[in-house]
Amino acid sequence: MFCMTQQPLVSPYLDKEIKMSQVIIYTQDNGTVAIIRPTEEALSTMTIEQIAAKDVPAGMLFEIVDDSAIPADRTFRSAWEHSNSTININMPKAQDIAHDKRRAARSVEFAPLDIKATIPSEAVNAEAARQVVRDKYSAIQLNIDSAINVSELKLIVEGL
Amino acid sequence: MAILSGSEVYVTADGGVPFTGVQTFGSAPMPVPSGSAPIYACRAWVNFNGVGTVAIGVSGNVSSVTDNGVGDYTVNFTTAMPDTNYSTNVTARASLGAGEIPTYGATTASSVNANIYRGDTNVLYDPAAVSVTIFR
Repeated sequence: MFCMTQQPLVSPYLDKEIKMSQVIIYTQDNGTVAIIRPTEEALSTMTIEQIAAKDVPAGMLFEIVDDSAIPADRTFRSAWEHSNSTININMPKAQDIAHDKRRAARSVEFAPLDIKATIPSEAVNAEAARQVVRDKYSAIQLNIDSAINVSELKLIVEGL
Repeated sequence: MAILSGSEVYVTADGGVPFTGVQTFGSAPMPVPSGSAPIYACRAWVNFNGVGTVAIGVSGNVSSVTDNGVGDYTVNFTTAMPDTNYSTNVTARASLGAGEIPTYGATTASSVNANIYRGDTNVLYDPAAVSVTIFR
């Protein structure tokens, strides 16, 4: 009896696109997710599993996931964490990032007033202007602390 | 044809006569350099974008790029360097108009860490594009 096995009808180009759409993720020592993106040249000679075995730091557990699992918005990139092939944003870490951005924005507004405050003829007005800046960013600080989700936090950051 | 002289290799035209003028490798012309200073070839190179989803353009001897966080990347070599005494060049194309400070951090024989900082605040940030080249 003769039996013939049919070869799967998979285009090599489609296979390449599938490979290029996958990334390797693992959790770093600081708790943030790292994303390893293979190069096209490496995928022409290695599987993504072989690349993971080579490029993931020793002892780290990793997952191979579809590129679509990676958020496109990197506003809170340092707050990305992963579990079960999904990347989530750690809200307290995202709030820390928002506070860093708030402090940076406040410093920019303070800078010219800090100079004026050292000039006797402008010191009073400069101090009044500084208080306005303090009040503005105090309100933003409260808004960041009371934000209940990442979308709300992002709106605040975009307004800085 | 290659001629060995001590630890150096001289590539010559057929018959042992050194190349002169422009040579063609495949479809690429390669002028013969003037002077006698040695040539050291790039051992690994890659360019990738850092804004949005990190995407690798083209590369040579690079197996992958790790996105460790904002402005923080690890370039992994397909074939490792002989040691860590290689020269690393990191450059970046600004995306914020604030200027950027490209640096490199930890080096191993199999990878190098590249970091991009904002020029005005010295804080890590994602540039529009990053290029890394390795010489050894």
